[in-house]
Amino acid sequence: MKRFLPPGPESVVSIGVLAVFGLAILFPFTLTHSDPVTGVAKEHLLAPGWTHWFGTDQLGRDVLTRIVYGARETLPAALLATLTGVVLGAFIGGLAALSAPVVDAALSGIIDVLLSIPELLLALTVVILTGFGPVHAAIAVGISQTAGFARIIRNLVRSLRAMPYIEAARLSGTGFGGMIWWHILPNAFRPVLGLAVLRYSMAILSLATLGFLGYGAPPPTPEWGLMIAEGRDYLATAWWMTTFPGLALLTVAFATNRLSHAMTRTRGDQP
Amino acid sequence: MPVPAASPLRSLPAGLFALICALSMPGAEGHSQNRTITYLDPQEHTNLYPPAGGFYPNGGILSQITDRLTWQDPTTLEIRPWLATDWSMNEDDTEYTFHIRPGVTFSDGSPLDARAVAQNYQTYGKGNPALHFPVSEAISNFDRAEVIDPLTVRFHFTHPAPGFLQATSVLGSGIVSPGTLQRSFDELGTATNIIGSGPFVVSADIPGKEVDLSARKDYNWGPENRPARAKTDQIKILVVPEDSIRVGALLAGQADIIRQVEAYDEEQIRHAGYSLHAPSTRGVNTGIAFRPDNPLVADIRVRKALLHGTDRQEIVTVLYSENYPLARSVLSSKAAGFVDLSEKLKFDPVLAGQLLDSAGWRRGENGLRYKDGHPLRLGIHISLPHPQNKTMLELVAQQWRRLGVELDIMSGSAAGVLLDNLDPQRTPLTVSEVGRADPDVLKSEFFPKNRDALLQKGGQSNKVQHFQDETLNAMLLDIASRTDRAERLKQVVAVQEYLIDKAYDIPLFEEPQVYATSPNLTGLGFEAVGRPVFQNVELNRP
Amino acid sequence: MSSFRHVCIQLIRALLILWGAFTVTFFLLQMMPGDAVMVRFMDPELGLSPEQIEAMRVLYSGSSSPVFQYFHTILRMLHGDFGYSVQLGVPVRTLIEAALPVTLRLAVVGFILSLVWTLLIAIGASLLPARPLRQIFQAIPGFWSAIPLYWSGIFIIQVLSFKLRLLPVVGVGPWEGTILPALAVSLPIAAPQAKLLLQQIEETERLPFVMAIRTKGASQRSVFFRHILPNSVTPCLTMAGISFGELIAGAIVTETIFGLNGLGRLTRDAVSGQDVAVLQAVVMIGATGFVAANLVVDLLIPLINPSLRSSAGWKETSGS
Repeated sequence: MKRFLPPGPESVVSIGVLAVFGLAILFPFTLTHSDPVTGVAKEHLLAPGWTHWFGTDQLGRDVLTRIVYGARETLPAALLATLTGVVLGAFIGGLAALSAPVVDAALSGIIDVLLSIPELLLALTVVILTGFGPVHAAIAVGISQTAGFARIIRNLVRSLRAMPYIEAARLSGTGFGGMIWWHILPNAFRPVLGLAVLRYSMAILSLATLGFLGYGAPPPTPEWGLMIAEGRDYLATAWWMTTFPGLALLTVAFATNRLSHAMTRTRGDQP
Repeated sequence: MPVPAASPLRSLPAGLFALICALSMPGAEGHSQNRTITYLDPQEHTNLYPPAGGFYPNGGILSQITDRLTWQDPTTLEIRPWLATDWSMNEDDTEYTFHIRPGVTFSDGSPLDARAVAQNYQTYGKGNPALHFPVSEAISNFDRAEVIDPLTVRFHFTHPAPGFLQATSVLGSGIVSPGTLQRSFDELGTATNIIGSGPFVVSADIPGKEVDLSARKDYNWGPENRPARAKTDQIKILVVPEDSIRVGALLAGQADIIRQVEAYDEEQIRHAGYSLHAPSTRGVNTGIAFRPDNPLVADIRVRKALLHGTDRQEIVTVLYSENYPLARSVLSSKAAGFVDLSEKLKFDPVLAGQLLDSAGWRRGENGLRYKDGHPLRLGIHISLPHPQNKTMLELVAQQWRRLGVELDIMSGSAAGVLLDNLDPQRTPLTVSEVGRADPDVLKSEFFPKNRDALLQKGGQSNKVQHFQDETLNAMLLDIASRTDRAERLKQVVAVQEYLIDKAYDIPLFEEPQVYATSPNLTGLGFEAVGRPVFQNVELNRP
Repeated sequence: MSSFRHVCIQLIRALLILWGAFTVTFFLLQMMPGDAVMVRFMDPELGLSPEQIEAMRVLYSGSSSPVFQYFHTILRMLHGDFGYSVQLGVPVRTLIEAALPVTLRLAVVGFILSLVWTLLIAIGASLLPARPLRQIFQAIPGFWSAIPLYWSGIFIIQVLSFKLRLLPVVGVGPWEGTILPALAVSLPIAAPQAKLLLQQIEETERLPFVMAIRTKGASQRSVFFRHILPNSVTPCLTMAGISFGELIAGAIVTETIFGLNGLGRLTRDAVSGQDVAVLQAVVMIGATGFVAANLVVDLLIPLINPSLRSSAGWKETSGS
């Protein structure tokens, strides 16, 4: 039932964009030669030009360089956030779906409680409890996303469990573990992956929001949200300081979103 | 069920556009003589108990609605009559007698007399634990207030209090009605509860958004430079935290006065024909103070190295403007007792490197300096109220990195920052600055029982292991209690020299409060530490 | 009878969720380092000694145990008393009364705008003549959900208010002041709604009865408005209920950027000042909004379209 489908042009473009950002994470020095944290103070607030494609910031640091190195801050942290959310969510959601109705009801109740607390507020509280910093911010975003994951995974697993052929497999004597391993996991993998990719794009934005509000990495870290936050004060005099980090964020979030879209559509095309 | 055809849905965008256009009409510029003047402040006021008036937004409101016993001339720094027509003190400055101007009333109609003044100072000088009122920072050694006759009041002090006369002129000593001080501390968070005798009355307070002031028509007891009632009937103080919105709103004609204009916006404001005002806060300059309790900065050679390794001129040139003069001492050049110590503050990276070498900090492979395997890494918290503080610290970090020293700029929740700032092990450095036009300001900033910028043992923090500088403390106490003005100022000079010789502080620049006003607005005044005075503000036809 | 029972169960469930949200936040907030008394009174401007601060703390919170405070706070809240903001020195109730209308206006206008966008996107993606145009419309939800809210907000102000001078942002009436921020907040809210609606439309189009009508020669437009849209809209209502809760979170950023003093700003300041009473109140308002929106949707769906089950709601109703 897992037909191989060649990726559409949209996925190819998305993957290409993400590959560029991947390069920025692994080998930032191939894309730029400047220093992301130490600038030349005399060359501050230069408009975009040949030497500085995206201009310089208030301390004479090259904005393009900071965006390239910034990929290192935001993207892996978002991955950590999503993983936290998926693992915790899959555990709680899966447990709820596969347990007795009483446990299910209790866990669903907890999920609903967590959903009812505004996500950003929950993330902010967790950051304050655990301390500021990129890793803590990532975990906070992950925890705030857990409830959403848990609910979707619970519903997914329940609907899979009710599928006639899985029901048949269960009646024909497949054990509990076997059922999960052979039937539920393979079928849940794809939609959960699609969902995780979508959530990844949301985690990028949430992390940047925490950075923007000042709860993420400390300066002079070239974190995109922080760059937008710092740059917005200079908007009238140096538009490039806000515009380009924002575009980077938009590009990577959109590419991830389209990738997720392509992945979930493939699922929808199946009979 | 049939759904209506497409036309109404199609016309929605057009309708929306029409709506936006229609609503934009009243926003168009239409100045008139008696229009309400709009003032934009980046922060909202907190508790308006007058001794808490040091906080800028609080000062901006309190300076309009309260009067003080005396007025400090911002140019000469001389103390002049206001609510007090004259005053006298005894030989050793332990008794002050003030004669109150007759006929002054609070905005609720009650008289401002000796009894009211006595009650104010009793509360400011001693606090009121039952109602949660803390003691005022400006008043030291206070014993009690005594009503001699309806218009004469005498204050008694346990020790000489030479700074007291100036303290009667500061915002924190604004006189409020006895009824105001009978409320609990918490109730003073609402501006309408503050009943003063000033040229304006608070007519509305929308928390976090807006404070409306209306002029008192019967006001005629202002200080000599502005005796009469306010020239404008209504002032609207709006809280607008975003820098770019305050500037944009001013330039788009949506506001008349804005506070806190950053240096990089000054050019475009001037270019558009608007005026900039930059009154000095004339106290302790913005700088970086050391906490010698931390072993990393306990060695004077390290502190001296950082002092000489900081290119202060670059900071002022790159980030600030001519409104931010380079600091020449710990004190502002406009403060009483200032002494020019520029010679001791020279930028000398070679000397800095030698000092660090001699202190045993050797450069490692990555360019940073190490001693016994530990890097020279110093933490500091951003101090948000100061202009471009984060950027400034980043620039300092950039300069220190060339020396091989890492400046670790930290951020955290408000409580976390407070706790860190009390722990010299976490914050060997702190941003220092106090605005107050009196020599006592040095004591305010550095004395252990006051702000304790250096964090001494027995001061604000119980995390301090051993650091204590008795010499400094004795000198500071001396300033606060010396009665002879010339002697006092001599001691102020000595403290400035001592602080720099010991390299306890790296003074960076003299901090102004920068305001911008629209071209057709006149009369914006300032009191001695840069808080706005709206009494003479008016809009003229362009 | 059974529908009455259904309503009762849903109500009890809603109350349980509110209680749970209260409990979780109460203990999370208790665990925070330091407290509001410290943040407020350790301000060096006040120059208080550690003993005086300790005295303030006792005066404010008493030295009772967390468990006692927990029940005390619940009882107080049931009476509509939200306690005192230590940071701002005013009753929380006063703050909420000032802030809630601002955020509700923002939420309502933003929500209506987002519904407008959702419909426009659905119409554009289904009815536009050229396929590339339809594809562009189909990509809009993904694009919008990728826009950082604070970033778009900054540009909306600069361009619409300061450059084009369409609407002032400071010193304006409450409704005029809502339009620009609502515009900013409506985009990310519209994105998931539109995405779901597009998916539903696609599914509905494949239903046999739609195909049958089409073969009878009905125009694309009339099929869309008469049959496809009405049959696709219901599941999106559930989504709409959830997005309403997100509006409160979105308000934190939007209100910061636009200088509105609604719940979002209040929350942001309360977080940084650790004003526990305010945070507790804000969480309860957010949770109540979430619960209420879901309750309404849950109770409305059977009325609107009994044949459809909620697919994304909080409860999978057993087959009707």
